[in-house]
Amino acid sequence: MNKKPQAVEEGDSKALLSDFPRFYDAYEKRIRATAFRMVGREHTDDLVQEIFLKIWKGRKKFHGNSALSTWVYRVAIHASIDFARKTFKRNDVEFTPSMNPTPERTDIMEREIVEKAMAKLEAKERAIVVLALVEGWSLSEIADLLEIPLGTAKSKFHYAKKNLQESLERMGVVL
Amino acid sequence: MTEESNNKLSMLLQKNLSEVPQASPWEKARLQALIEEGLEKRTSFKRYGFPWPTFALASVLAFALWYLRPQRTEVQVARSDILEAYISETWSDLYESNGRQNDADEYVLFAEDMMAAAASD
Repeated sequence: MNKKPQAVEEGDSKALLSDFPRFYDAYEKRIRATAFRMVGREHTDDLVQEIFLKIWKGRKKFHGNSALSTWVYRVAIHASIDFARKTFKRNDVEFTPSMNPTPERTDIMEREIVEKAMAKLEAKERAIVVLALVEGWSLSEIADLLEIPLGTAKSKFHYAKKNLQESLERMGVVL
Repeated sequence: MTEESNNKLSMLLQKNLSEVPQASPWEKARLQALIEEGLEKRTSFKRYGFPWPTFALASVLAFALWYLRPQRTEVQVARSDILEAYISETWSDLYESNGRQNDADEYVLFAEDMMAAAASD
């Protein structure tokens, strides 16, 4: 499992926030992974750019009250939710297999199915699924990150899994 | 959702969402260029590919052209009014005499005559 990443050079976080190339090198992989999981391959580059610009524009708002990595991740996940809301409408995404289902193409089709099913989720539900099931965050950590009550996080997680399962089943993936 | 389905879902997502696409080689440079350009100066004008001074200059120029547009003289205005009144009066006559509104040929001929007369004045 992709465990949530550990802090990157927290000691000189202010210095890191004034040196873009260093900051980019430290956080690019993590931001890219989150962006990809949130909006799929097609929109990853656009979202990565939006997240970096948002962080850089708002870097003066980082006062060191939390770890830099936490602050960066918070900005990234909120930017991802906003981006997903703008980009996807819940029932807009239909799955059309891009190729015939030969055995060697099954993996690619499965990836497409998963991306489409994820795109059908509401943006915050998607964030919770990514954080909980792919990146290994606990629901209380997710609630804190998304600034929502724990009960809300739990119920959204429950409905997200149910919706995801239904979408996957409609596209032929039975869990 | 059963525990087993839950685990299967988790494994399916991890399998298919762990292979993150690589960044393009120029992504870092592009972002840095955007940042060096000054995020504070980024405005909606940038989206259309030109900086705000160009937009401001174009606005001033457009206003100047509108302000200095050619004004019609009093004689031109009076002639235009008379012409308009004459056309509408004649049109009414045509309509009444022919009983139909779309006598296009006659109207065109009449309009051409009037234009020629106006041009020779």
